[in-house]
Amino acid sequence: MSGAVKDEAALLSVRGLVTEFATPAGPVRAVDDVSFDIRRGEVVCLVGESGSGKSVTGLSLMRLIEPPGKVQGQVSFQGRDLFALSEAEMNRVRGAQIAMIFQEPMTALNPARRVGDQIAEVLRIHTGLPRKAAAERAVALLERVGIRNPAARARAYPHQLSGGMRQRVMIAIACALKPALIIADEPTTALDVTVQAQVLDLLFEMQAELGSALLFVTHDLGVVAEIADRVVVLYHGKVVEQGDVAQIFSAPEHSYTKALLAAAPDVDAPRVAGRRFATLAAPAQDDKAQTGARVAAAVAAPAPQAASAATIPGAPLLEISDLRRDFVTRRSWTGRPLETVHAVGGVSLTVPAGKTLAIIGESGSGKSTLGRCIARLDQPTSGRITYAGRDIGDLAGDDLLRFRREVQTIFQDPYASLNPRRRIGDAIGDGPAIHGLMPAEARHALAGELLERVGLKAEHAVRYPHQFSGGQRQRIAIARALALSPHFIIADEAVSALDVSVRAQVLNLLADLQDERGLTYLFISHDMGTVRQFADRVAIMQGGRLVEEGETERIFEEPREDYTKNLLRAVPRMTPYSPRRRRPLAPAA
Amino acid sequence: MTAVAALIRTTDIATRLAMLVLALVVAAALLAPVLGIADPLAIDPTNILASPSAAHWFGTDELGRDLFSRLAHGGRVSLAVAAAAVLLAGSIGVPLGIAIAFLGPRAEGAAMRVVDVFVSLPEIFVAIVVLAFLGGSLPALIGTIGLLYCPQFARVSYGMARSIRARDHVLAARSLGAGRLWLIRREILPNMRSVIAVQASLTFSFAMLMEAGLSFLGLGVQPPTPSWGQMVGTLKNYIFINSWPVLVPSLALFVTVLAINIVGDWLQDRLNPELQR
Amino acid sequence: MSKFIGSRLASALLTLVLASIVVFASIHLLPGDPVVMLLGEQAGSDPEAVARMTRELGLDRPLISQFLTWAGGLFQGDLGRSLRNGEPVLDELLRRIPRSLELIGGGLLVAVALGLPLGVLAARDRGKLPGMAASVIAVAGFSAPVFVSGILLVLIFSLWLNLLPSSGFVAFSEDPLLHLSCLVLPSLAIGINFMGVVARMTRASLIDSMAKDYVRLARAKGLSRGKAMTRHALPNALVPVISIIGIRAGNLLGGTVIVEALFDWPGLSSLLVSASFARDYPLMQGSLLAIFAIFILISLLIDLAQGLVDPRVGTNGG
Repeated sequence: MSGAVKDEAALLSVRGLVTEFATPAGPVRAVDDVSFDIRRGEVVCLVGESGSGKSVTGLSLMRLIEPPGKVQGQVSFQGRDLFALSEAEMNRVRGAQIAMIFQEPMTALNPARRVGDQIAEVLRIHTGLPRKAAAERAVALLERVGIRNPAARARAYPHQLSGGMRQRVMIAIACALKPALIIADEPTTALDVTVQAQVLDLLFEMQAELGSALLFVTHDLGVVAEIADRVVVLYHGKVVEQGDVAQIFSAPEHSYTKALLAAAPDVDAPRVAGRRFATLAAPAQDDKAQTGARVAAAVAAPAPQAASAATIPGAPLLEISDLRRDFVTRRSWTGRPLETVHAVGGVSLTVPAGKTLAIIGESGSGKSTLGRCIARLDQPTSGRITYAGRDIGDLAGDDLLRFRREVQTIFQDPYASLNPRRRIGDAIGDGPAIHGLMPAEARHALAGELLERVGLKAEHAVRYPHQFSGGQRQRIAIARALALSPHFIIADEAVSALDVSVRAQVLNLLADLQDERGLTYLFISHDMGTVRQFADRVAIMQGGRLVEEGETERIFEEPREDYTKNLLRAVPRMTPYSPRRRRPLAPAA
Repeated sequence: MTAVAALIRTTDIATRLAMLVLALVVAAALLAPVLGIADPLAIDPTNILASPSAAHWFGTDELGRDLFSRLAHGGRVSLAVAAAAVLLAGSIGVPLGIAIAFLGPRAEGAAMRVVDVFVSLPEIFVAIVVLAFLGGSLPALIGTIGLLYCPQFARVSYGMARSIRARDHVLAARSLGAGRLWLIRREILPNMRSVIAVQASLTFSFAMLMEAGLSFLGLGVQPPTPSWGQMVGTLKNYIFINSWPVLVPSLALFVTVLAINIVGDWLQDRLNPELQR
Repeated sequence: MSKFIGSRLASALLTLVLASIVVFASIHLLPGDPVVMLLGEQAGSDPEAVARMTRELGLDRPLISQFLTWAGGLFQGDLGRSLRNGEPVLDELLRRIPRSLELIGGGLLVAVALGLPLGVLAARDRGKLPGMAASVIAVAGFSAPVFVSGILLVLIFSLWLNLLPSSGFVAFSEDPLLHLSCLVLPSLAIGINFMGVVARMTRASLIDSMAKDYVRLARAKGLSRGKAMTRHALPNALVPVISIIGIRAGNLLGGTVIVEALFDWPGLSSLLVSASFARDYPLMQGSLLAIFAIFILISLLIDLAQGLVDPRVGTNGG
């Protein structure tokens, strides 16, 4: 046995874990000298942003890194050196003593096999249970993880189940053999917040029942506060800090941990007008002293034909009345609609000029379809949208072009929203080029200025999108939208794909631009914490309908509808002292 | 030139060999008339179906014609027909596919149903019937093969254009006010170039095989003009007299198509957009 | 599932209708008067003979009406008579269809029996010697024109080893053993080319599946790498393999043209070729339509096979 094991009570002890991947540019260390312990029954959260090596750490412990990856270090589990086991011995550990839950249950379950068989398989591998008995156990497990009508569901294929149900199946597989350790890799990230709450409830119920330890890999600090006994913070493959959850949240030591906590949006923190989010570089600010200087450097003047309504703050700029958008999902062979989905089913809303209206909804709520209809990227089935007093439905020719100058959209996926084959300078100049506003040289100059405005460099204009990170690409997308000096910007989950620290920077940029130019935002999001800080008004959507709408603080402090209350209740809180915490807090050391 | 050198340095041995073979075949085909080799049509009744010798490196055919020379001249015809057919197929199929992608959902479905039928029908049978009527002149051959492969280009371009059209950067361009032509030129075409290149390399080898097959049956390139398939078709009758001559055009065809496919695979790996990220 | 089968049948029928239009159009719309061709240089220059022949064959009527007559005949099983010998086209087709099916079946058997293991080997041992060798064999098979592999097979198995007949056909009822031994080389020649298609797709698809999360989960459950591959990756990898067989079934059929000519196998393709040379257009139409019908049948069967392998086909998506 290895002498490196120090903590006698440790179930799992990791020492000096290094995972390298060979790339054409030389070896890349995804995990760099990581050490931590997990005690029996303990919940340890591995926290980090993308590229921190948190998921690779989980896979490395399971020895599931495929070549060209290479793993070194010492991992001792129940006193056995995992890295010294033969492959056959390791196979007996996997699934039986250490189980794993993956992020995306749709891709982690075999699409071609019935879920009952997939649960039964793990039983049959390790216990040699006969087929029939294993199938019965699988049905019992499905029932245990809260799936109604389990005998019928066991015969379903993964694509016939909802995301939450699939993740319950994954939990059933993981818990089938009462493992001593469960490694859960972002198990709730792909789920809506209300489903996430249910799945977390189930996971901790099972964990308490089995007494398993849990290594929970996540980027969501709210979830960490709610579930962790201890926290390991990873940054660029290294452990920057680890400790009890109370200590990490109340007295973080490392500057990265501090910044991460400061940048994470807190749904319980009341909105402060004019406040900027904390970033890795700068703490939160309530005053606009810094932005004042940047306003002076602001570039393009507002569009010359500025509609008067767009310039009077608070006046209704956009009015939506009874908007519907149906999608026909099945037609008869004559083309008659057989099945229709009401993506947006009668929504009426008003967006005041110079303000931010947030639309909150879970997946399938119709919030993005609504955004597309407003941008005239999609045709509503019925209803009216008026922008600055004009019905956008019958805009054509020059009127439509003018509308296109006024209203811009920023999309969710920073990797898809820029043309990979186009230099970013050209992409930024596309708007003015399409509208014939200025010659090529002036467009280059404008692109340079806008790049500087969004915090990049003018020289970057000749680069291609793949040379930038996700956050930088989202800034470029903002610069492209700004090139036409629009008044109205639709941000469709524009920061959802970004890491917390990067998200804060992009949000601050948007807030600064609103102050400078009097921009109006329609901010489509599912992230309640961000919305509370960022929006003036909030509209909640569910199943294509508007649930309620009002001033941000009113919605968060006194929600009127049950759906809103449930939604707010489901959001993880940023403190380990919340009454919603799923585990008792260890007494402070 | 340094870019070409860098390109060659980063490829594996099989691909490098394949590139070399292709370069040799293309050079031989291009230079055949000026190489100073024997006349491909000169008959020598005294020396038929000969195995390789100093005078005839690759032997002679059933009329005593020099096989090396016929191979070089035949390759010229085979490559030219395939290249012209690919050009024709691409220049009709690609615009067609993109146009269909902009037709609107209902017309799109109907148009693609028809295209799919043409893609799936085995081309060579239609070619046999058509060429039986038109005769095996080179323009007829090129036109037939080219038109038969255009649905494939249309299918691939349609699929690509449709998937690119749904991407956020195209939506962003639309919200900037870009019209259809702008979208096609700046957003869609540049992003499908690699797929079209791969399709072209694939079609090139198919077109070569199709020409060879038709000529083998006697429906393609007509004698005395040599083509590889036609040479195989004639020489196969003498396989029991001397099995060497028929192997010459057979192996030439095999090696060339193999080289095209290896280079095509390499192209596909290299241009794969997912791998580029 | 029955709905899925119904929609597949409907689309197969539609394809058949379109195919029959293509068949008719490709023969009647092309430049070159079949009558002149049929009569030959001498009589073709005599306008009276041409006019009489045209009338006899009904070629003076509008194209639509000709098509309707032909299509009407199709429904009653009347495909016209051969211009050469006056025999009903249908009889000749019925004689030859089983022979072509035999050849296609043999080719497909060879392709799948050799291609699947080759593809699995190439994927499993990727980057190692056996895997690379398997990849090379696959791409070579894929690149070898059917007549090249056919000629090599004849050289090896007939000329040098003297094991199998180099060409010819004997009815099964006359001499079953000889019939089958005549079938071996043509099947191999078609199958080797198609084996390349199957092997390459199997390799690509299996490599793709091996990288999927569900294979990772299978490993995390405690399955060895080999078992995770055979139980989880391979069944999923087969879905695109089956569909490529469907998409490329045209190549398989196209191969029969060459093989029937090379091995003197009296199937549909050689009928089409000889009818084409003779400008016997009722026979051309008939054989072309029969070939397309076989092709559509193969596609239909493959679609249905796909429905069996992939549960996402033909059930409600979630």
